[in-house]
Amino acid sequence: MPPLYKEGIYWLVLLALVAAAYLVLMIFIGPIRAMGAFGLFGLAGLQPLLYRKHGKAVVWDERDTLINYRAIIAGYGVLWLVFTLVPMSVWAFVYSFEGHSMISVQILPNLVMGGFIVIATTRAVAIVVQYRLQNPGKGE
Amino acid sequence: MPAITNQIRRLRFEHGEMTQQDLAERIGVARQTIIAIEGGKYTPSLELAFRFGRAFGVGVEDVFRWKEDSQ
Repeated sequence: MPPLYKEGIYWLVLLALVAAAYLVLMIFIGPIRAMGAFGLFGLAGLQPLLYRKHGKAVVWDERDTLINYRAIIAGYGVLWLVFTLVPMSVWAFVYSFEGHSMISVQILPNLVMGGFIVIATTRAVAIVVQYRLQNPGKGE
Repeated sequence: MPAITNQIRRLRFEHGEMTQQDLAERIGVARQTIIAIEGGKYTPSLELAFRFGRAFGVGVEDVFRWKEDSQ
């Protein structure tokens, strides 16, 4: 299984773990404090361990480069759609009717974090889909 | 369908039933990349195509061909 494919799966599992932790904590300590669960995203920093070399096996070649390149383009494409098209048009338009024409400074850091999550998640999905399309039935 | 076909599977067997892993190590790519190329799911770069030819001791066009040429 290529390390890049593992990285995609790793992120999607981590995303599910964080979502589950958030939902559970939200029940007990409320939606704001439960956002501490997002700290689990820090485990993404362990991803380089997936690229350890085992024997003579090549861990990265030109196909991985191409897949990663396309996945990053997809990630940034979705980011622009979600964080520019939506907040700067729909959101600002709607909220300006209520006298809040600017995004709250309390919300902004969460938006930045949300942006990273959107890029990483879209990239992970694009990576997994591309590997599955190129090696159908083998999952890699 | 890809415009390029390949003879990798045949060439592997003609070269002592070389495994995909052996071929991958010889040309410096992952085994999954060999699987994808052999299955026509991925078209390699020109540099990699030459490395295939060198690994089998044949020319690039003996490994990869335009589909219309191979029919």
